Amino acid sequence: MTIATRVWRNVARGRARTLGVAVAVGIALSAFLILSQINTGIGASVASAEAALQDVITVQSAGASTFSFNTHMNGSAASKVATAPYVTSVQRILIEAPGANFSGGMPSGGSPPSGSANFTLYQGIDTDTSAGIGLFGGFGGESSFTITAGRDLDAADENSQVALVGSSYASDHSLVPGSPISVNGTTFQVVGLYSTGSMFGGGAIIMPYPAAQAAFAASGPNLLYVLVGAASDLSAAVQDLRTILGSSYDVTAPSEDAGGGFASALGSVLSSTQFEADAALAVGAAIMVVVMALVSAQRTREIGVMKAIGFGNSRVLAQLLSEGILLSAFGLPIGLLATVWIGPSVAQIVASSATPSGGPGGFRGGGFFTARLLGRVSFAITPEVLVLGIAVAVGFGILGSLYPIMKALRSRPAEALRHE
Amino acid sequence: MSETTEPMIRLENVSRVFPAHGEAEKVRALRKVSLSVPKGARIAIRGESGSGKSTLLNLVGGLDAPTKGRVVVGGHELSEFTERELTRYRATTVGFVMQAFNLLPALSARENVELALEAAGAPRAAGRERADELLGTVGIAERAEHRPARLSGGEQQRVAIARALANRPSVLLADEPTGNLDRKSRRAVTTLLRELSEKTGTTLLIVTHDPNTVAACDTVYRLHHGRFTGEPMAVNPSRRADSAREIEEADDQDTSDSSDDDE
Repeated sequence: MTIATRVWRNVARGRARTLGVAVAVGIALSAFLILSQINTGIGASVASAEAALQDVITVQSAGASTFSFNTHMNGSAASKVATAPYVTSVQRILIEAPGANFSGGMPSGGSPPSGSANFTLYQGIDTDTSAGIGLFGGFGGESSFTITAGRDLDAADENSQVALVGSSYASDHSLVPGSPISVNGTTFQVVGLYSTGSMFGGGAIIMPYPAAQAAFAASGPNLLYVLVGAASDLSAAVQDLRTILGSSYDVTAPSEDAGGGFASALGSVLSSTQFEADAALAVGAAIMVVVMALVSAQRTREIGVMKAIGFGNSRVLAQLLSEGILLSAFGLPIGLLATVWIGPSVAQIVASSATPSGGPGGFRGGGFFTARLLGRVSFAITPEVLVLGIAVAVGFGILGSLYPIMKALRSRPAEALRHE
Repeated sequence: MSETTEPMIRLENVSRVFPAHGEAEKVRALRKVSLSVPKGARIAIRGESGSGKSTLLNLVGGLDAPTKGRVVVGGHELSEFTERELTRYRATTVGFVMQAFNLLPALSARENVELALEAAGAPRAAGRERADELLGTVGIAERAEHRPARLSGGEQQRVAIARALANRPSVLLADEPTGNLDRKSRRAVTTLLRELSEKTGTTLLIVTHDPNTVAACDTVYRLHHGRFTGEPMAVNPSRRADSAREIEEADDQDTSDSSDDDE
């Protein structure tokens, strides 16, 4: 009889115990995998995104404020900016709010100004996200952007008449993905619904920039986000843009606070997910220690018998360790399935805890951006995730088993045989 | 001393004290016990619960170590063995039969016997053949595939005996081998142990309360509070039944005296 057969028989002997261990390990494993994937997903975007945000230049019509929705730039300005030296990417933002009166400016707290409660906010954006900024900026306080139905906009939508609709607007107008929606007389197709938790975000309609520009017959965007290749090029890029655009446009270099706020928000999420992933690992290992301590206690007598009939410590250790690993491995499929099923929900919870932070012009919050990043983290079972899952499950089995088994092995056979 | 006169088992002033929190709470299981068992002898050790019988057996079997004194088996002092040598000793020199059978519940009768052979490094095919042979010897060949939970107490003890004999040990140690058995099974197991010992020349050391098992041996020692008391009693091979009755009567008398003392 091989050691593998004995291991299998012993694990199969206590089915309830095996199931209990599998569920416990599965939960700990999925918590670790989910948090690791969130951490990895954000981490991969952080370097480029953070660098990009540090280098974001905003361009607006001279004297325009963030809420000067009716002040459009000249259509050729964006083209001039795109071909300027140092510029690597330009994101056009068009914001329209027909019927809204913002002459008094935007009060703090995210509420619309008095007398402007019944308006719809339309936002046109370049959907190519390769620049690393994200689809569109967030309003201060919007820390959780979540697609609640359908899909997000992506680069392929750049020339389509499609729209994302805020959940409160969709609810008021009975819209679902696939519904047609009229935007200033032009029909768009709703491809997804989103929620942000604020009345501005929840009441907005987001479209690809070209379609939005056509629908509102706008001469150009209200705002440009301009990325340069490196932080060292920032000053030169700002100077060149001011020269190219002249006094008709304000070219603003990012404030220190913008990048700092973003970095702080992402750093906060990164460190908290790392801590939580580590905690999940520790909890998983602790579960296995407790379980294997119980299993070893129940089987102390068996350990005594094996030693009494001539099995050395190493052979008993190999058998019991294999049993611990096999027990733990049963949690692997549970952990992987749970990762796929509940990963997006966990990401949403993590996103809602991200610290919001305003960006240049108030349209790009670090917390909001973090929420967008989290919404895009994949929880699919890739080969890498599978390997990580197997490694962690085996690790749980070894770490959890080693101490109680070693403790049992240290006792003399006579002592172990007396164990009830 | 020549090799032929070297006893199979020799205990010299062996003491075993189990540690406790305080000096007064220490359990002195054996106190300077000496014993010499010739090769092939069948020795019974009697004594009330807590007299140190099982401790003595564990020391001879290498399952425990004495606090003081020497345990020599087959000419080797056990305390001088390395852990590896001690493991080898348990696998090949001694066979252990325990009161609680101690069969591994996930394994069949045959696999329990094979386990002992595996511990000694026997090839798998040969191990299976030997296990079947032994199960036949102890009379339960037809139950080879059954797991312990589906065997009676007597059958489990037969499997335990087969396992103990698997590696042809020089010494067979039996700790209350009939303690958990009914009368019929007690007799059968006692007879089996004696016959196997006679047939193989194995030295047999039995700890038991059972007068019939005691009478199946050649010499009887009595342990009391960790010390041998009185002279070892030789059992007359032609009067084993009478010896068993006399031992039983003596036990009854001891119990009666003990009750009188209590009053």
